[in-house]
Amino acid sequence: MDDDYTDAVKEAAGRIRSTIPADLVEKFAKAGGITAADFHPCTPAPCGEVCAIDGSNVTLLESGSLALAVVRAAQTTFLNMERARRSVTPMSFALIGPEAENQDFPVLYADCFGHPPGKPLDNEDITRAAGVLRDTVEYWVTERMANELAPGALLLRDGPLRVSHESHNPVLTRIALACKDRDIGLAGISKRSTATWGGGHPLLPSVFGYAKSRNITAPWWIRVDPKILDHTPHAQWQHGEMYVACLHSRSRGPLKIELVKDADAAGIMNRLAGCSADGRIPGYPYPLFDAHRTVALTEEIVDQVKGELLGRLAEAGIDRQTYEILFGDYHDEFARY
Amino acid sequence: MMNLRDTDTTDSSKYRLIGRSVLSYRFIAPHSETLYIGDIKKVVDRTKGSTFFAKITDLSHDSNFADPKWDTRAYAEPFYGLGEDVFITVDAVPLGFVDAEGQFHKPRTIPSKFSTVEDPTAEDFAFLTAQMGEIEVGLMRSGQDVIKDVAVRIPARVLPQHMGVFATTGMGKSNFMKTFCASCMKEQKFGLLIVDPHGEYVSGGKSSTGEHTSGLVHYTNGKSGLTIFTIRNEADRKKYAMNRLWLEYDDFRISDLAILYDLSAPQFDIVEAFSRVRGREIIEFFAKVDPEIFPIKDSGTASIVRENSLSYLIRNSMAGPVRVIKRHIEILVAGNAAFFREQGSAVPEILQGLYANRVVLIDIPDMGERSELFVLSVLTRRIMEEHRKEARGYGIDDKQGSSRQVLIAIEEAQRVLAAGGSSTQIFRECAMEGRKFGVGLCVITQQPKNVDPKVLAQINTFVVMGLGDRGDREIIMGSAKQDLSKMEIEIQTLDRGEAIISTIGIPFPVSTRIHRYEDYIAGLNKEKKRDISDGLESGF
Repeated sequence: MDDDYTDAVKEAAGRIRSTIPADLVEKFAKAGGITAADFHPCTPAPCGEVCAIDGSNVTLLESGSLALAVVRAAQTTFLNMERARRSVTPMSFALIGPEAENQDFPVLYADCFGHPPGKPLDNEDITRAAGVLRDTVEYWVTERMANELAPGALLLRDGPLRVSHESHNPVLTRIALACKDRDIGLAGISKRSTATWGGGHPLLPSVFGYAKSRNITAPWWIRVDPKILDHTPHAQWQHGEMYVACLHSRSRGPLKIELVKDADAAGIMNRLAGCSADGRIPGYPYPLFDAHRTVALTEEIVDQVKGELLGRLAEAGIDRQTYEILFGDYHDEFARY
Repeated sequence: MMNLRDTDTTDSSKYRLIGRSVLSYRFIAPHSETLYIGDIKKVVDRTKGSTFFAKITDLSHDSNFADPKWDTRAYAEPFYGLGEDVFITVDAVPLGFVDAEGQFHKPRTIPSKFSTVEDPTAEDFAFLTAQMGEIEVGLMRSGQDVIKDVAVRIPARVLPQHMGVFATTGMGKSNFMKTFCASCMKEQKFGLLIVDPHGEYVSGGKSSTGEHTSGLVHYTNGKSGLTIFTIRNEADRKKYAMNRLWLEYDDFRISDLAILYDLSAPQFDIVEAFSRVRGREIIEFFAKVDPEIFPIKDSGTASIVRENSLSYLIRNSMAGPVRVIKRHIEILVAGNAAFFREQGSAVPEILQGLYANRVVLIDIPDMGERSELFVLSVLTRRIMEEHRKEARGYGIDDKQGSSRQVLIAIEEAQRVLAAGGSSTQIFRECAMEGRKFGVGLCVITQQPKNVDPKVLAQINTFVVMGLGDRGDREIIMGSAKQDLSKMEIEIQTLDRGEAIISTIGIPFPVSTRIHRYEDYIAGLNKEKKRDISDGLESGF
């Protein structure tokens, strides 16, 4: 084996290890001042009405100068774990490039909220731009459901209660207000988190490790004091308070859950535990899983859309060769060998 | 303006044909659906205007999930929304189809993709009812249920082409046979001979599960179709109008010994030497003969043995084999004295009963297996002789077939129809040639694998009841005239009183719930009796 290669692998592993040291748990307890008493047990409760929102985006075509993204969002509503309704937005297409500013974002935003966005969307990072476009329809569905659900319902968003583009900030503010006014519980649920403490130690393994070391059995939840966390950019876009929860004894790991200020954390956590018992993904709220499966732009769908698009491009006079020059990927060709 | 569309919640993926070949249908059903092996479904092809019929042969769990091992990785309970992606894959074997004109055909074509799969009704089987025969034995079964208006009736015309009843103990074989007898008594389409050494057929008894059962005499409306020959006392005979069973010495042939005893080669030589000698002569000869004179070599003894006398025919035999044969015959005569006598036989009356298309029951309670086989051997030989004689009488241009059809039931048939048994020649001849003369065997056994495959190959009607042994099932599936190979699971899971009937008269193997005999005759006894003047012209 090449020594340089071995050293490189060793170094990569060592750098990861440095963020998760052997004494991570004890360090975390000391730095955060956390005790076992901070962990609250969950009592799985009947879920009542639970609505989950998720979005999906795929970059259909990508050339050096532009990309074509397709986005959509979906909601799925359960009443005591029986699905009552499920709906999706139509697929929206948006070109990312060749201009520096995205031309479709204001159209999509206005289509959703009736007015142009407060800030334009930069095309430089295609992945981020596609994510913002997806968030736009996802927030639109969330706002709509916040106004349609019956009082007492629980509204779950796949992701944090924190926007990644300034134009979404007033939307999320309205959503939070609508939920508060209509007595709807709002939770942003993330499978992964960027949150770190102590200069780069990841939060979720630290909390989970602490619970394990103290024999705290799931389901449980804990509120995270923002003071122990490393600095988060754009903190003004944060609309929720952070919790970490492990919702099932067989859960693969904890979730980061964000609730609006003054939320009934115990009540919401109990209801979340009540809908997180599905045998395939214990510890993850089943309505969110269902929303994901509803909205996902699968390979099958993408192939079909690509085919239809190719036909329309041909009708518009773009021949196969031009298409290949523009969007052809040599990696596809490489993969054949 | 952005909009949110509710997704279609109707599930159109279930109960649509997704099978890929002419001989194998497949569709999916909700995972919580209760389906059974043997359920019959109709596949409605609205494009072609045809209705296909198929029988479920296998059920398996399946899902749309990408991970084929999702179910072995389950971490907890419960599972929500399982019905959308988890389902039962149903495999079915086609039975045939009814075209737009209502004609039934073998499954030589395939239904259109996504034809709907539905539950059939009795009306859907009108074509089948029309093709059924006369001898009713039960109701058509679809899985666990019966289709009430579709009676399963075996065509009488195919029965002389042999019939097999295959079932392990306790699966309802006796009930089937009595039900079959009752239908034969009712229809009187052919003569049926049954030899019963247990005395159960006459007035019933106890089933293998301990229930009290009725006998053939309890089917009072059908008594004109029944003739009983018995060794019971006079009071019993009078009570049920039974005849006295007698066989006379001349009904016996020495070859009958080969069926009753395992004979050595020297003993068999004696049997062969006397094969054309009348029974009475043989019995008298062995009653008097001194075995010790054999072999006849010294000139003194030889001089008193006439040429062509019976002693002369076996003059070279040793004393030992003669002694054994003598003893066998003495035992035969003494052991069957209840019905075996020097002179006076009921055989002509028995044949008369059979040719009047009645069920002729030979009731010899407490007589044992040897007596049963002895009677069966004598009667089978006599029936074959009669039918052969009739066949020999036909002219070149005459129809080569007997107008008299007889079916002979043999219980535990592997005793006399096992492979390689030359000693049971008469039954073998009947199996191989009987159909030419209108004589059929009803082979009843719980060990079909022990019956000669050549005999099984002659059978055209299979009544398959529960068979636990894989070897037995395989031999049946390989011998039936219709393809039973895809029905192995159903055969394996047949319950008591259930059968699969495969016969050349009915277009596909029919799952049947055999009538409970007592219920069946109760219904028949309520029917209006056939008037004696039915069919006669009235007036002068």
